Amino acid sequence: MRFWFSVSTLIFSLAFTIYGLQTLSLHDINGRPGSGYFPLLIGLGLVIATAINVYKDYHQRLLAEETLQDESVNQRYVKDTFTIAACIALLIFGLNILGAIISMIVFCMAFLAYFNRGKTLQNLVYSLIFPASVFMLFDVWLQAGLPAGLLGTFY
Amino acid sequence: MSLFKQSLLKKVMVLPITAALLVSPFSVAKDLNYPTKNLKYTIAFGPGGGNDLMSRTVVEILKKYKFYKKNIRVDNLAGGSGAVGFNYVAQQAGNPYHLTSTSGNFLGTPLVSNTGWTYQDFTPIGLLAQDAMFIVVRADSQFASAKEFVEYAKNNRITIGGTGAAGPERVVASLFAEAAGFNYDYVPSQDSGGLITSLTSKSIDAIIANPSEVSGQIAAGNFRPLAYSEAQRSTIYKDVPTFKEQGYNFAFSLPRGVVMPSNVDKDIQQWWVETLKKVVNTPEWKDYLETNSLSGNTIWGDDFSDNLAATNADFKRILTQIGAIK
Amino acid sequence: MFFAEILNNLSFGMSVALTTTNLMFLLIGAIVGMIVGLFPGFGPAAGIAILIPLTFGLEPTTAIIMLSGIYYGSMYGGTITSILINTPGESATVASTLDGYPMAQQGRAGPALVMQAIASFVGGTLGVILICGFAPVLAQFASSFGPSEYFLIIMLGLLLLTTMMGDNKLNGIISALFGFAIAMVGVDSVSGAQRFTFGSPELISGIYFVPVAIGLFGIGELLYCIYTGQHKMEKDRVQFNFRSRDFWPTAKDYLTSKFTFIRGSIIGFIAGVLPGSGATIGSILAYSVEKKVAKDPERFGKGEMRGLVAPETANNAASAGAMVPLISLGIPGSGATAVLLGALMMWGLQPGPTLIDANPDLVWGLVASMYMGNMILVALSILAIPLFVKFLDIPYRLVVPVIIILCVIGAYALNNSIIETSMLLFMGLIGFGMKLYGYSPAATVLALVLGGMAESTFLQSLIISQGSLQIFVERPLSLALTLFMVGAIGLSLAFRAYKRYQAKRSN
Repeated sequence: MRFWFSVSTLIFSLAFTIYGLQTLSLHDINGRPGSGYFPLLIGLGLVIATAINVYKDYHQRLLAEETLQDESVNQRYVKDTFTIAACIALLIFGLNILGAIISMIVFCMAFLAYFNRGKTLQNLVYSLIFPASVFMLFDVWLQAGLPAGLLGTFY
Repeated sequence: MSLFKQSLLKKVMVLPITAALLVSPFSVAKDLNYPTKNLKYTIAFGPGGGNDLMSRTVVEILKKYKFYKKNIRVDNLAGGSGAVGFNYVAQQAGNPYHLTSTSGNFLGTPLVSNTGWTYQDFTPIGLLAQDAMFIVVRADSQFASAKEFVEYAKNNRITIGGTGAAGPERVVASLFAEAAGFNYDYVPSQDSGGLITSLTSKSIDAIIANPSEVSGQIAAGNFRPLAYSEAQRSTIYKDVPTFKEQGYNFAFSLPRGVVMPSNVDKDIQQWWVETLKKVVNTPEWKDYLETNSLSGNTIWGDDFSDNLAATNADFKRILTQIGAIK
Repeated sequence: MFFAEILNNLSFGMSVALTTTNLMFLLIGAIVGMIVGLFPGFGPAAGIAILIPLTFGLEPTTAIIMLSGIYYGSMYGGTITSILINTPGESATVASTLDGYPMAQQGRAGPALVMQAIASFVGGTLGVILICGFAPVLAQFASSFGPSEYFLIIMLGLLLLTTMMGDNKLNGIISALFGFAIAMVGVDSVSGAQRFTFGSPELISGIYFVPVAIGLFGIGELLYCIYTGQHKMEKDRVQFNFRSRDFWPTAKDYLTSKFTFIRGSIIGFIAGVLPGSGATIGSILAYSVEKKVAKDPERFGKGEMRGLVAPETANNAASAGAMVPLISLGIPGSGATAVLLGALMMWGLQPGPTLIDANPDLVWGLVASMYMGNMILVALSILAIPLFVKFLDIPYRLVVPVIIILCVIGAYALNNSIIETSMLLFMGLIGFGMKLYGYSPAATVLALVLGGMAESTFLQSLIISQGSLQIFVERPLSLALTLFMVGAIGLSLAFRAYKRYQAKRSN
């Protein structure tokens, strides 16, 4: 995995540099550094540094063939990590569609249903009280205007 | 009512067309059933900025004097230098329950990027305040007037600073140089703090700045304003001459106004013109202008859209000249 | 004579600030500020902006005093999240996560939070004393800084980033370059050309620092904790109360960091006086200096008390320092003071060189209330710390939704932008990878803040000098800074060579 992360940083660096070169001019009308000057410097720096990294990782991979899990042998929770990322996505994209309060409640319920299984009552109380108090603090008291979403139709 | 109208006319010196429209607001109001719903006031910028402050002041006044009978909900819808918020309002075509405030980005953002809307996609209500700019030099500099500045600039290299690379400050500097016939190097600062210190540290010769940014330095006698970029003198700084008066034939100020979505009924547009005329006559509004060093010369209705078109044309021409847009 | 001036100004300010009403509003402001500050993203600037309406209808002096309570309250609140959940809400507290969070993980959250409060108090107090004594001189100093001087100061900050990159220097450099790359997005502040916006209006104004920081740190750390299974572990309950020994910093903590307090305050204050990103550079400087002078620099970044005290004193001293250009020049030195400036104008005051003469009660009242605010907050936070530490006692799986909602709502309510909020998740995934493979989110975030400033001040200088680099040695102040920088690099290299030489000899 480490290797592929390094490879993706290299790909990002190349894309950044090439796109910058194609869209920006290196010098302005007066011959001074233009809008593309610094992006090029940064891009080149990134490409060199990430390339070295990829090279190093590749060698390590060859050396440590199939010893895998470089850091420790601890159990990893890949599925849980994906679930939580999905929950966050649900919360963020729900904000505008469902409105702040509903999406917060849905998020809490979804999250707790997976991570705190079995304690339905506790989860329910938690999912209602915490979002409600955040909503009170921001929308009602501070008037910061969280999105109303679905509830907006009742205003 | 008629007394009120008269004093207002004198005060704002509106053009004859608006005056003609003004004669019959009563007959309009009679058969107009408005408002019947809550108003949504969209602010296309985050809390705390200039646009936000103005919008909230307008809403406060509308609420305090009960000019708008229903409730008003204020929403900050920031993103993309106003692109997101203005786009939302533009989408509400025909809906008379949406309002938003304009500022420099209302014209600038559609010029530099593909926003899907321009100022023409809105119904203009009124320009409530002018956000024009000073050209300012250090008080200990050799320039006592715009004329001396131009004389020097014609024979020497001169640097003028402003906030942002392709903002209104740049436009004013370019229009000035064009009208007076000199060349200059523009030094863009990132924020007003950097702008002011670039002048106090003697790094550059002059800056173009909003009056509110330099009012403290002017009051302390550190800076000297040479000219003002509105068509008429500011209602706050009455002793600073305009560029026009001094023979440099241009004017440029940003519209701090209020607009609605397009395709709104003429009568409703007129209702808002009347209402906002009441707003700008309140002491709260005068306080707002004073503390923000904004000039209170107003322009209403369709004259406002002519004004927007003219400002937009200048903006576009200069941005094309300096290569910021193609 | 000089001390008389400090005392005079301060006692005059106290006489203004010390009324029951003012103190009450100061307290309310401090509490509310602290609560709002717990939302990552709501640092002082956003905290004040969102809470200004609460001060409407108050006397101007009372209102400003309340705002200063909010200012300090949200700063304290923000640091708490840096320590407890590794999420800095603003660039000035990024450095505090480096050692603060490891301390919390080692079960020393109590001492970290107490020390943080004390460090903030000391920094703020020394800052206030310095304002009272030196404001006019410092204002002069700040106003002689042009683009070329700013560039040199920012470069200094960037060079020092290397001290906070962790063990893998190559990854640290990649992280910093990644931050620079993000900083390039948006309209170029010098040419006006659009860079990396892909024609989208959403990106014209660039990528904002807050969602990047909350994503890389807060969400990234959270994903990492889940990945390593923290939610499955049953924690030993740690009993915390005022009487328990684990709650208070040890005598050793105080002794090792006694000079850190003073160094941090002075560095922070001077950096804060310079408009721009004073507090950020101040905290980086203080941290690096501390690491450089330490005999055991390898302990930094692993939960070293000095690594927390240095940036915290600097951060608070800088926020006092930022008041100097605000009250004496009318120039906002930071986001928070910019909002404060707006508030001053709303009450019909004209910030600028005339403010001190025209409204001495207000200015010195404000300065005195900052001092009072610091005192209230140090007491308040020590009282509240058991509460925050309790937070760590709750099973991690129940804490996660709270962290996520704080982060998401904090990021959203800043600008009400769904794009920025989505950025949070994206940056969270990157932050997770960075944490997993030993990159440095701190370097990324600080490079993002400083990168754009470095570029634009550099190009401004070149426009002024018509392309000649001589501008960096022609102006006296620039020359001094250039010499200082070259000297610092030279000394550091010589020092390292000497150490190596010694190590060889002892072998």
